[in-house]
Amino acid sequence: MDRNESKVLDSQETPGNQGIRVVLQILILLMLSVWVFWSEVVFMVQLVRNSSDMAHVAAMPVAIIVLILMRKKELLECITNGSRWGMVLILFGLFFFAAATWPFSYGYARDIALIPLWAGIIWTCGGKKLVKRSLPMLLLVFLSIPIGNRMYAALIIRPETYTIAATAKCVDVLPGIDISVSGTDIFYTSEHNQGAVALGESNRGARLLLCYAAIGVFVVFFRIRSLWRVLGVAVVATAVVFFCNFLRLYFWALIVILTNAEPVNSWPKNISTVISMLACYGICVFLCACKLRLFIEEESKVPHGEIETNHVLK
Amino acid sequence: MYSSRLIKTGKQTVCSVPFLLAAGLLVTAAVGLHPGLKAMSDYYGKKPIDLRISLDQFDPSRLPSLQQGWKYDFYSASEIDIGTVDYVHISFDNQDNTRKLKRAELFITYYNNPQDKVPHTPDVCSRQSGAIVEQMSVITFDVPEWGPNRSSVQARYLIIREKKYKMVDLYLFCVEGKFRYSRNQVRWVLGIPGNQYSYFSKIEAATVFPLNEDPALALETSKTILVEALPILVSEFFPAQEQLKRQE
Repeated sequence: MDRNESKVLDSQETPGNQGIRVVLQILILLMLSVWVFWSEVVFMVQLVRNSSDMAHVAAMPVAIIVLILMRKKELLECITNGSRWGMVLILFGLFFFAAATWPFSYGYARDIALIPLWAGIIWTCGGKKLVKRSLPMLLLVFLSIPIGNRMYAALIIRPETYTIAATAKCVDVLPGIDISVSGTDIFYTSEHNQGAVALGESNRGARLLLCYAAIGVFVVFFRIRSLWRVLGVAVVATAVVFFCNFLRLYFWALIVILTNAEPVNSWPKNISTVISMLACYGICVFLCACKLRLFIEEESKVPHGEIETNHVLK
Repeated sequence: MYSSRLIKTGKQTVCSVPFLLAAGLLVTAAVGLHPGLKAMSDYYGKKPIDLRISLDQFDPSRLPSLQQGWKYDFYSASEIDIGTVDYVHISFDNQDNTRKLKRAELFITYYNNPQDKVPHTPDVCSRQSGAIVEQMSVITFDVPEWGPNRSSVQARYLIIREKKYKMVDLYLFCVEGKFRYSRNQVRWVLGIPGNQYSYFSKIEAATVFPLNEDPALALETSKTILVEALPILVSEFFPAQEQLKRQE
């Protein structure tokens, strides 16, 4: 803990009062930060409203509030009177924002500047430990920031190519179905029908990646888990995200081919999206629950209901 | 000793010193940051500069490696799609049917408006038109005409598969006289303050080869086109470094 940070609550103040004070301070500063980032926030809201790729962002405030409520006790326990060191992060966020506006012009970097700024606000009002325990919520905020279309299109070339190729191969093994790939389009010929899969959707082979990641973060941090378990899930997180992305396209293709659905019908897409999101949730729950020896040993050191700061990520 | 606790003595209040400092900073930023950045941008903002010679004056016969057995032709492109009227698109068709390489292309676009967006690159665009990007990497090569003093040039190296053929596509950007191979690198150079004028150009050389062939020969051809075209473009077409500098 830094020198300027007060360690304990004022003797005249109860944890509840301290919590209310810090929450008030944070809310006021968050509102001021939204004022600074007003044009970016408006742009993000418009983008989220117009893009099904970012629809999960609508659920993020609820998810963040749920996470806060689930760890309310732990958050209250670590509140201090704040620190001036948080100002450094706030200044860094503002500088980052300014540099990404002029002389450089990177819209995504401008939006991302919110994260250090908000971390700085939490540090300023509630102390360094509160920032540490707020990381899951900040991670959800990070995953809610939409990536610009051009940048996203360039980033997903490889994963989208592999996903489409894998989907085509997996569907091709089904009897009576021939598959061919042209660019990002998957064409099929079956005994009764022929056509294209996943028409009318851009980035169809790598969509909702941030949504799957957000589901994973929410599931992992829904409870306080050992650092080893969090790291274990983090290692396989990328694979889980891409597997769920593959599942979505695979089920979309299967539904279209087996039901002879019109290519522009939205229900195959909706069903496959729900399946893939449920799969993502299920896989993450399984990974969090599986009893690996390493996790059991680590977790057995923590008495039930207690938190041990040296190996528990809150 | 500094204590962050109180403005009022004795009790915690909402208005602690760090909170007030942070609030003051954020209000100052909300009020002053945008106008300040706009003023900086207006003062130091870069201006457009035209080509020394229009790109449609580019003479394909000055590329020595594509003299014998190749026949060239100029193509037109959609100016709305490419976002500029300054471009040249040349196709070289191999007249010798026994050769494995049937066609090569050189496509150069030039942008000088600081508000111009760096265009999509073939790795993104080609997929939307039905091609599959099989390989994506970066290659480095020397341009002998520039001598040993100038550093090597890096270009994006793509192998793109169409239905009936494959293509080696090499592209790079020349931005304010510097060579870069990705859009973000271009945006970075465009953002660096200093020059009064700015421009960037995308230079793309593609060579078509049969589906089952090794790409080595096509890669060599694309590379040769760039090695021969770049010195001409830099020395005769693109603005010189001295022209870009801020006049005091």
